[in-house]
Amino acid sequence: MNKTRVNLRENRTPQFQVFSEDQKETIFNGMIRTLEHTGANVHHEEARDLLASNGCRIEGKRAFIPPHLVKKALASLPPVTEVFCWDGDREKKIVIERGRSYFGPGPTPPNFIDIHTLERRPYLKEDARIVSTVVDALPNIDFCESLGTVSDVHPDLAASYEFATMFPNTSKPIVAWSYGWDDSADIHAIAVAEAGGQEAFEKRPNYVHYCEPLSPLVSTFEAVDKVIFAARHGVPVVFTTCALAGGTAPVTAAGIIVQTTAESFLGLVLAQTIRPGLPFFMGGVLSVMDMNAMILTYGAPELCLIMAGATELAHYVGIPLWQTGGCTDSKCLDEQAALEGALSSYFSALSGGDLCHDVGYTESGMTGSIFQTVMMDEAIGYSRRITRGIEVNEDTLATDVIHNVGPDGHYLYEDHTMRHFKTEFWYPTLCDRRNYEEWEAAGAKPMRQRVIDRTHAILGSHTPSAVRPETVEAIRTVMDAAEERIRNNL
Amino acid sequence: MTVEMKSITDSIVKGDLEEAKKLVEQAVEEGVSPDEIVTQGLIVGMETVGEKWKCDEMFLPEVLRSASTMSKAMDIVRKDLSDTVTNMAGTMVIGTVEGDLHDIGKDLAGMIFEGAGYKVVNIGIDQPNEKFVEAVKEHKPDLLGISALLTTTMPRMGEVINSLKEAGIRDEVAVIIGGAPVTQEFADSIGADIYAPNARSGVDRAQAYFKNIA
Amino acid sequence: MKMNQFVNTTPQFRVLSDDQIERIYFSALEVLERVGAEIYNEEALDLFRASDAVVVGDSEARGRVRVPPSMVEEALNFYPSKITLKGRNGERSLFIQKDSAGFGTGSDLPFCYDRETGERRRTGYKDIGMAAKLVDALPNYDFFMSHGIVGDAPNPQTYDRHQFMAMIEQCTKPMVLTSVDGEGLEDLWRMSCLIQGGENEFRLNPMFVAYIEPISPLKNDNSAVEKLLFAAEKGIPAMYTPCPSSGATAPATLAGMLVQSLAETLLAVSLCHLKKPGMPLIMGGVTTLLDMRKSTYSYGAPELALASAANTDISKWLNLLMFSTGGCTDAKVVDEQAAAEMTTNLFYACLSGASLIHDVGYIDSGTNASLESLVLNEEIMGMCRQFCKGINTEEEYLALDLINEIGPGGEFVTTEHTFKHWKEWFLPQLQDRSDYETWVNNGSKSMTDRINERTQHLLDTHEPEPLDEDLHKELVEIMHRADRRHS
Repeated sequence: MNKTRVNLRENRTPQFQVFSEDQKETIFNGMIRTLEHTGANVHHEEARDLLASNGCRIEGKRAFIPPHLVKKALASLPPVTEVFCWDGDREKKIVIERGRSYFGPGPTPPNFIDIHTLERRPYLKEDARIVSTVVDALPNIDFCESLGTVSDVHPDLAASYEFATMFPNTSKPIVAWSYGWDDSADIHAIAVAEAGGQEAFEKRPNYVHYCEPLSPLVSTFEAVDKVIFAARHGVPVVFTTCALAGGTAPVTAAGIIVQTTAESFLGLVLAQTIRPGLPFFMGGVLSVMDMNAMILTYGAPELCLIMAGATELAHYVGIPLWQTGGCTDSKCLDEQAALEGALSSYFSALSGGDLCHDVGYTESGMTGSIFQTVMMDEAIGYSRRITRGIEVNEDTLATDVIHNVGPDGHYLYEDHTMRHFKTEFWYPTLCDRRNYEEWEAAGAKPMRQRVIDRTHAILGSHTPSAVRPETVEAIRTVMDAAEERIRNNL
Repeated sequence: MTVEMKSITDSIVKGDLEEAKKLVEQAVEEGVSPDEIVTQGLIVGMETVGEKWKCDEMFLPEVLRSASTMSKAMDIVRKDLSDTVTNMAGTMVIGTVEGDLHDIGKDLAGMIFEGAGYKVVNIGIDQPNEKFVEAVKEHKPDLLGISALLTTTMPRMGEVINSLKEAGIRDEVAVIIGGAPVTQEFADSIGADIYAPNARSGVDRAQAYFKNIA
Repeated sequence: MKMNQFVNTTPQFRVLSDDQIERIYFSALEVLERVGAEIYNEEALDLFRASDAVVVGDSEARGRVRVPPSMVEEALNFYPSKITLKGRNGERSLFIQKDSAGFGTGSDLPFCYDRETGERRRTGYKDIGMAAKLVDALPNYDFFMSHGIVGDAPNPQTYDRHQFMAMIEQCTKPMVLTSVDGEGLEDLWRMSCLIQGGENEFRLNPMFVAYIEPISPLKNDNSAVEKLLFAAEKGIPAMYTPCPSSGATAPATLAGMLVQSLAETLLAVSLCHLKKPGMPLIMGGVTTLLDMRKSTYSYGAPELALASAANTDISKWLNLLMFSTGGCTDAKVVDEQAAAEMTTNLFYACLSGASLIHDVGYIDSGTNASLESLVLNEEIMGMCRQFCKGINTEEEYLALDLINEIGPGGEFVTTEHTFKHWKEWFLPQLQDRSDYETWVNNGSKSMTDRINERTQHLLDTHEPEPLDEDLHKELVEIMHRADRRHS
């Protein structure tokens, strides 16, 4: 039987593109031009000096980056980066490589949806424990962020407490947010304690550092200080903005991508100058400014499109992308929250946008909801079945099986069915597929109720791994010192 | 080595036909009563399967394999069962009405009833009313299952029941109907005895029906 | 302006490579030649007997037909790659061609939730009228399928004519129609010819596509085949739509299901060619799985979205028009599951380049005709259409000079550029973007509330253009004649 095949080429997964190669080049060239001729304001003297001594033109606060420096920075980026779970779980580690996508919540909303009363209220330290515990349990969430700003501690220590609370409750990598150098150091000390020292940490980093400069083209002191911290300590770093098309960036998708990429690249050049090879992410929260509500929209279809375009540009030049998805402008857990969150999750998965954050953001980023995250865990599972694609081979084509069954037959008894039905199909956890009578008999629950029930079930049953005793001690020491620092500053 | 009823149960849950047949034959040789084999071994096996299916621990293809195993293993001792056991799960005739070629719903229901211990005679698709009457006369089933998937062929279900009346055999069989467009109201309107919203609940409702009239 | 520039004017999406499609195609040809299909129709069997196909079986009314590849390949050359429909509003508005989706509802849904009592009950004539009115009002819907079933028709054998009346009274857009059998299709065609102005006008501006369905696996019953042959004869666009369920009525692998579905399609392709080369045939499918835990035919599964997209890839490779599926869910009510599932499968169907996408608005695995679902999907389709516009990278859109001019720390709200372009974005009708206080002051409405309000508003205020009275009389006469024939 002549089944030897040659010249076979397959789509191993579905193929999705927004841009052609020429379009990516056009945008990249535009970005290079912007950095060279427009530059950015860098509100950090040490950074300006560093850039100057490496070939940048500085005029007052404005730094202009020449193209060759951009290329040099890109050339020193690692093609693959791993971020590890501190309990050594190999399956859950994050491998940053073009085409892989990972998902997690986001930082900083001032409010949180109380998991018992369902009320919207200020975010508390206990919520960080709740979020990290649930994140640890969800199969399709890969990294952790707090979904809030802790309000029941000293404001300057919100970030430190947040990390200290989350870290022991999830072994999944945290993308840490902080105000500046001091709390970055608090966070780093805790992570390093668990890793077993700075050297061990650099070999197997267990968290990512998040820095947010300002659009348009403003590298704030804090953001720059933190990227320098990350570079000096070997922490993979995100340096991205939250830009509003039509507000703090051009109203067009191409324009906002050009500008925000330039904003990220300022940090890229700086970071690579200090530490060539430091893993670095561009991207951000890039969406349109709603002209009625005057807010950055987290649910617009344009968000999905712009983020997908940005992902392609990033991968074109060999840099991973900090994506945004699973989020909504809705004020409650409803159809709007589901459809907006699902849409941005899907396109993040389709475009392979490396780390997709803000899964669980509601009310345009003003309120964190772990319910949203739980609901999106299902959506991400769904989209992962799609990005797996369709396998076409002799076995799956099943012509012999079709022959055996024939018209008038069925496939339920076939060996072929037994072999495939568990792996070929995705089985939902939250989406209901019962017939009407069974669903009604079980209480006629809409999805939102099932989401809430599942969240409570996870919290009631999930136990994360345990950190080392040294880490527990380190957390206590670090937080005591942090409190001391605050007292001394008063 | 004596055959434990549990090993028969396990073979049903696993859907291992060779194993199940071997054990049943061995049990017969050892003098275990067919009644015990069926009620303590085979039926317990399917009840376990039913529980696991409810909790999403087992999936449909696995359930059907178990059902088929159960049915074929039961065939070995079927003729030797006492009346009590035979009445727990008797004979079922099932078919799709004339003008309707849809197969899968009826086949699925048939397989699940087999799993419950019924001997199922599947007369096929596109069956005129007379064929249903003939089959009832020939096989003398306890249960007649009528399937239709189209609103245009649904009325034929009523015609089959009327044909049974005309042949004077309506009272000899319980009629169970199902299919996507069928409802309890429709079942009542044509005089069907049992309405099954899906194949799974069909078995339960049939058992309940027979218990009530006993 | 740069030279040698190749741009993606819209996003690009594809599941299967050419080689993968070809493998599926070859396998389908293999199945058709080796296994064949059952046909329960005399005329079709005669046509096959007179051709190169092999018909096994002595019965006049039933036979197994096996078709050699050459017959299929010849037939494939003849089908049109473009069909245009004109609704009774007189507009040639539905351009059926690849990579340009026309969205529409699905048909024959037995249940709905009563708008007053909330009870789940059977659908009837009035319910179809309400669905028709909504589809007539909502701009993103391009065609209408009944979204309900006339459960209160006097005779199930003629329900299709009544269904058509219910549809045509309240909706002026092109349609996709189900029919009981060949005779039913003929009546629907006669009624439409009256509307279009004669048989020839119907041929040039068809008002509807006939929906016809084989039975998987590989069975073609008499009423389906006679409808297909009638459509071929009169030039009525027709879709032959397998609805296989992977693991039950098709192999448990998506590739295998696509092979079988394609074999079923190619059977129709060969048959229609024998009857009338070049008839307006559309391939299609509702390709999904049987949920192995709940034994239900799933409308929300990712496999539906994935297989439909792959099937669309295949259709384009074969140069056949594609009738795909999207905007549907297994959820029993319009809730978060519904929203997420409908959004996803609608987007994938559109991105894959299908010509028509149906079942938009289906809930409860295609058994419930929710009106709210229609309104929710209007919003989703709007987002989808927006997304498909892609990203423009021309100089004006790149805005380099503007970025330079505004510079670090500036703002773009007051620029001419923003004023010129911001309206190119999607303007939501249902999605709420207000801040929390404003939202609370406006009544803390959830999406469900907004959908319900809008649905009721449209039902209360939209007035479809009424049918001309004389025309209405003539249509009703055809319908009554059919009733009398079957009483």
